[in-house]
Amino acid sequence: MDAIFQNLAIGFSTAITAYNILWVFIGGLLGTVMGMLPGLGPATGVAILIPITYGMNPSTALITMCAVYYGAMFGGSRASIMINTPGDASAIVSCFDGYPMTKNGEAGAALAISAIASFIGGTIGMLFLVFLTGPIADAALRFGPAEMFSLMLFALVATITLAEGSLLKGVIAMCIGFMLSTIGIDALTGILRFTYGVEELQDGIDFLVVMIGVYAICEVFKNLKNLETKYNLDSKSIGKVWVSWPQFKKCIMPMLRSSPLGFFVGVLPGMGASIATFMSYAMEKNLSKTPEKFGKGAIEGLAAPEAANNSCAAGAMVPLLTLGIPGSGTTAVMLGALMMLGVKPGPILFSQYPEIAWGVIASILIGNIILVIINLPLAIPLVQLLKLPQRVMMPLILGMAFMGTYFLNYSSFDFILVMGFALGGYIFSKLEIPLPPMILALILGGTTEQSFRNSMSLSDGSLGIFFSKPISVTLIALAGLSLVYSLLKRRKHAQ
Amino acid sequence: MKKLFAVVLLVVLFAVAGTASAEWKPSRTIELIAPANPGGGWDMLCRTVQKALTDEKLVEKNVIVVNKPGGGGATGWNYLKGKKGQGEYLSATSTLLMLNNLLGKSEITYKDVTPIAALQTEWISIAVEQDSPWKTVKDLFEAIKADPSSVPVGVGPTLGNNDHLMFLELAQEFGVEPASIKFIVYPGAGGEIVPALLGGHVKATTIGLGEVLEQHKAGKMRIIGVSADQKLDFLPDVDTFTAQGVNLVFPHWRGIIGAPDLTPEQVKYWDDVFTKMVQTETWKTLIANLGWSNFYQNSAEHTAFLEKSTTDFDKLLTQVGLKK
Amino acid sequence: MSKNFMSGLLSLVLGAIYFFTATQFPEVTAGDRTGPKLFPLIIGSVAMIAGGLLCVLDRRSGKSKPIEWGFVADRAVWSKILVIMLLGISYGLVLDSWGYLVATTIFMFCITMLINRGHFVQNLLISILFPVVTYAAFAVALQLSLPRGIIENMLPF
Repeated sequence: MDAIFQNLAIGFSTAITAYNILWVFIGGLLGTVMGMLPGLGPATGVAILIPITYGMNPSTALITMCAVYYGAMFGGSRASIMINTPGDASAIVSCFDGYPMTKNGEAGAALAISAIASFIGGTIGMLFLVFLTGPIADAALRFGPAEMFSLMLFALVATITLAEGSLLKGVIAMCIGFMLSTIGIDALTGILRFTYGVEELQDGIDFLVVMIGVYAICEVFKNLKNLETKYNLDSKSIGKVWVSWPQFKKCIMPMLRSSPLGFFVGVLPGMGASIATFMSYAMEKNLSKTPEKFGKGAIEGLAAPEAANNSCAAGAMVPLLTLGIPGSGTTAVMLGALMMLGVKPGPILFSQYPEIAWGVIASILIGNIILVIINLPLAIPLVQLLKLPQRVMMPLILGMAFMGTYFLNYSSFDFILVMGFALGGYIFSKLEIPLPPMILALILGGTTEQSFRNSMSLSDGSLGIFFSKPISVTLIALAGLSLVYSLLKRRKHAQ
Repeated sequence: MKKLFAVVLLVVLFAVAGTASAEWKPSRTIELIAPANPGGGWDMLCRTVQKALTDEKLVEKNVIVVNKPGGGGATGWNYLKGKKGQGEYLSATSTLLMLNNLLGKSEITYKDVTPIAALQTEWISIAVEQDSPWKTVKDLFEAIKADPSSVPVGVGPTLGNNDHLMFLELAQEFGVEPASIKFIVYPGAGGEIVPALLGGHVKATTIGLGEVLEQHKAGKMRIIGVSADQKLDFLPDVDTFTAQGVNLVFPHWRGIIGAPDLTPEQVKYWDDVFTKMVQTETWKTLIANLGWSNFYQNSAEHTAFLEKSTTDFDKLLTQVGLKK
Repeated sequence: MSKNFMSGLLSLVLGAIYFFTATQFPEVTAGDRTGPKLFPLIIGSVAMIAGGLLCVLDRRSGKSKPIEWGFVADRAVWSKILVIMLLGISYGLVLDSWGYLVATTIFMFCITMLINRGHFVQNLLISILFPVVTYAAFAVALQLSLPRGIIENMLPF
């Protein structure tokens, strides 16, 4: 225990220098801006910084890059809350209750709680990183293809049970998401699937294209009917970017529950923040005494995924720090930048470069504090933007959405796709088909199929593999339970 | 009218003659296209080249890295293909430029662009669990031959890449039927394969040396062979395949291609720049830090190399049954 | 037609097309035993079953909600959607050749004139400022590549 505190002291003394804090500030601001625009995410943000990090010592470089990463997590949800446009996969769930809060005139509270929850999630993530890295990293190694598949199945089932109305519609949405995810070249065999001769589809459909279409642009379509409306913002609450105590109290438990969940998912190789946020939202809705308020502006429905998201980002540091391998696209860029600086990350990072490893851990706390300091005041001018009438906001949203689309692949074909998905999203809303299962299935589709096929290869074609491993069985049982529970609740509700 | 025409013709002729004799120099920002997301090998190559060119002041213009992911490189290369005759656009390339075409995944070949240089190579390694009984590649392939189903082999991000092909070529050398090998594919490549091997979900992996080098040094897993041409000085305890009696040297090289229809002057300009670059200390330090080895070929050498490799790969892919 | 019935039908049709397409895939087993077919076949089947079941349940429940397309009542909305879609696709088609600044200015001007009717000066301002500010921020300051297009040689960067 003493050793941990000693190491932490090394970490903080590395991280807390005026120079480092300045860079954390710059990195955090850059990340926040990049995170807000759909199509640009933390990986691009970190990549932009690489030329600047050449002049730095490795620990400053890594701390700065981490700040961009966390900044993007903060920024991603700004746009979700204000204009129903998630900046990244990890911010999708923040739309579910964040945007309704804005519509209810609570944009200030929503922006505040998202910053606070991010901070709390990040801090808890950091504590886990300090005290539990070893055992959690070992536990994560036990996740093979079968366990991964079962985990994704559980997350998908939990997401299906979220929607109002028929469960079957959730299943349909999930199937459509999977269908979209299988379009393109099959990674294993190289054959073309479902491209119907369209060359541009060979590489598959980027989920961000779908996301920009069904969220950002579709939201514009829906608002075309009442161009003159402004958001319900009374002048008293508009400048107040803060939450009241009763509101905060509602969020405490959800944040404390979601953070460990997010952290663990972040540690798993190949699992992103999307799974963590969807699962934490589903968990809170199921535990809530007022589940009917979820989706209509429940503040705890925003706090939980925000906390999960940021603690997931801390979790993603575990593979980097303990094994020297990237746990996500962003950490892959960080790893590359570190190697260019002559650091050889590996399983001995903690012993070989304690000042880097512990400096990063300390920087998570410092970065999160600085990001709250950046984001709370930043929210005030952002909220003022909502005073603009819809007829001015909407062209700006469209402009940003198209620029984001272009940054994804630099392809004009994506513009056709994005328009198609916007129309599709509009039709879905007319039919009341829930979007979340579709989006999650699209994001996870590739990995789900891959882990399914890998499991089948390992077991020589027997489905028994999913039921012969304790973790996998537990997850499948949980999926089954949540399905049954949700069916019973619906039956009771109908009577 | 006729007079005017003559004047115009004269001006055009002079202009053409002028450009042909003068040395070419980039006139705008130089775009290095990484046909992949940030963090991968191509992206790292572009960023090291960017740093070396800028730090050593080898070019006068600004150099930026542009990520254009998609199609296993095809998106970025097609973008380059559209920049006919413009010497300011360069892209990272590797064996995938040939492999994707041979496997029918993309239309584009090295003939559609201008090969500029090969710059570096990574060697491919075979790693097994630390407590595994296999000490040499021969041990491993004998185990596979005896019971292929008991030896799942991790590979990524897709089948048909260098790592996969090299393993198949080794299998052939040891008389193991390629189709019998149980490959487990990890789209996250090293980031997923390393934990899979550490967790015992796969028993062996064929993977870029850089991804497992530190694990091997820390005693977490064991590298049983590398595809290098001679023993690597930073890896003294591992024999090459050649030293283990298998005639196989397999570089996973990366290089630079330019837009189609570049003039000889433009090619000469970049030949000069890259010849100088690979001799600079900045470049040498960077590739050493990244665990890469020098693999420089100038434009002419590289073109010839690509031609030969294409034929070799075509033969190999047909032999192992990946190409029909 | 009711919302649920239409959703079910949609799933049934998509699932069937998807399933049929998957059955046409060639058998490939190089290094992968499950092949590219099985997973799509499962998804297609689930989509068809869920869709069919939803249709049947909807007919039997007798509580189905009709779809409000609003093709007549919201004619103005639908025509605007159509125009936005056409504008968006054309924007994409000309973006690379015209360049970000030119194409975006024109696109933004059309869009603002469509949505923000009768505010000519405001619209002109938005459609000039938006591309310039975003270009300066992303292409100049952050050095991300945006197409320069026809004014390539006039731009200082």
